[in-house]
Amino acid sequence: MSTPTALRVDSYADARPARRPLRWVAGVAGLVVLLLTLVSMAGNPAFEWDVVGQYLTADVVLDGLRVTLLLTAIALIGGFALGTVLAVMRLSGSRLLQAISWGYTWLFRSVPILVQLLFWYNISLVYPRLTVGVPFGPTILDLPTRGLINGFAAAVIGLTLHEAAHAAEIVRAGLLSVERSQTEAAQALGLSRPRTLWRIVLPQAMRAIVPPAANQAAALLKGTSVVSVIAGQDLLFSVQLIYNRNYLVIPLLLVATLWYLFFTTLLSVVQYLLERFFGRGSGRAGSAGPRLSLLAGEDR
Amino acid sequence: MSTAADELAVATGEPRTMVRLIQISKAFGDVAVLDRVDLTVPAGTVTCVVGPSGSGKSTLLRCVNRLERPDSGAVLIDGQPVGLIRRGNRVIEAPPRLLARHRTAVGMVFQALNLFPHLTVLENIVEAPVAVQRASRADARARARELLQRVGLAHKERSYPRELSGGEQQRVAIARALALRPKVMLFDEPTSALDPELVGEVLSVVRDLAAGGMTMLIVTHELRFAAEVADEIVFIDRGRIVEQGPPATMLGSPREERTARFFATIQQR
Repeated sequence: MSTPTALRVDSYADARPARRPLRWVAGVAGLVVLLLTLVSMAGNPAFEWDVVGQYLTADVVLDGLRVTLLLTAIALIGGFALGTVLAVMRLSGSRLLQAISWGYTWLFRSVPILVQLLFWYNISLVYPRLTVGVPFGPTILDLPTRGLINGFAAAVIGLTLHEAAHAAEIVRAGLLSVERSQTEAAQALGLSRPRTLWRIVLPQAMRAIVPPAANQAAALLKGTSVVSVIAGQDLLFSVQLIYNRNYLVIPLLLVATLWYLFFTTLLSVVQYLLERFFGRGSGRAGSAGPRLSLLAGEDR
Repeated sequence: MSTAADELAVATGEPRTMVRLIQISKAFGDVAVLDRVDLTVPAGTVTCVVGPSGSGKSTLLRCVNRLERPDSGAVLIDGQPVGLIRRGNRVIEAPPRLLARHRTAVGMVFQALNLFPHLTVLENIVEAPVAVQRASRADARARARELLQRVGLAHKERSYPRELSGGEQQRVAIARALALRPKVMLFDEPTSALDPELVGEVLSVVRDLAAGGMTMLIVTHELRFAAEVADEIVFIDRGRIVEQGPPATMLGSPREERTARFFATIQQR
């Protein structure tokens, strides 16, 4: 009577992980498609890889690249600094500050970046002179706006203000993701509000902020290419300058693409490091860990 | 004319009042959670607040360090009102900076502990002394290590809270609250997050603190725990103190029928 039971228990002890044949098929199929694409790209003479190599580090291209990176860095840092202030305003107890923050986000998220750039570039039509002074009092400084706002300045202003609106929402989402009990614990310990925000809430919020912020940074890096319309001499503008002369459109677009690709890759590395840093203590410090195990399934 | 009791009080040094709640009221919407509560905790004693869930006992505790702002009334810690200042003839709310300073006289151990997950055990403890009391980092570290030694976690200072067991986390939370050298310790349901066999551990930590002269106010629903640590048990129901007394009297022969009924239902479980 006990024999069949014992047999079954034995067979449970031999339990093996399930095989997943479809996963292999899908993986191999994906690899084949990738390989075919690479072969066709390498073999197609229209890509003119020798031209790509020749222009990749040309002075004009590198100058454009420098403008693109500078614009991205300024707009990203300025945007997130302003965005953090806006997010804190939005979450403050003051109705007035909340409304101002909301209004800012509403406005700058609604206006297309292209429209904004054109507006700032042409600001001298609205405000011909820029003056610094006491309101209704003496003037300290009076300058023509046209001389101050060139293509680069207009791009910096437009991109930063645009970026801040998006950053505000990203930061606010991050701050909201931290439990209120953390703030209470800090208050009970007598920490001031700024200290609580800086030491307790923001570092924890960063876990939720970094991934969308990296998205935003990548979008911004490529988005700077719109400044070519106001004669901002960025990467795309520079390669356009070249192919308008020699008609080598595709290889020069590839030059730009390769540079964008390189810096978004670099960005991914930075993102990985930031996630690892801010994930400390969360039990998922190496963020590659859970990501890989998600791909591999929970059974491994 | 002096009575024998008065003479005794002078001779032994009548304990000064450490915590005093004066007419504390708090309503959430239409629900009165606390209704003109008066409570006094003498220095160096342990008071346990018991009562059914929703009776207002946690809110009472949170009013002591003003995490919950009472609608009216005041809390005095060693004679100092928490979060209130006098302006001429009127009492008004203190600015945030002053409230923060008042709060450092009160250590609190939360029900969910609320350790800072992104900081190590040592950093959790060092944060407040450095930020609030302007202690040097070295001094704060030395003091933190001493506290960790006392709760038996000296070897865990580099760990993150999540790497510790529930009991260890609680001891870190206690050490963190003690780092500011508070005059009073508040515990919100200290046994509820623990496995039953760890209750004895909390008990011994609380006893050690009591032996060191710490004044404590503890919210709990574990009557046995309360009976073991408390000098005074306060029974609260529907936002009012129903009765209070030493554990033996309260558990043995409560005056109020409501108290007896509550104790009976609790002990059945």
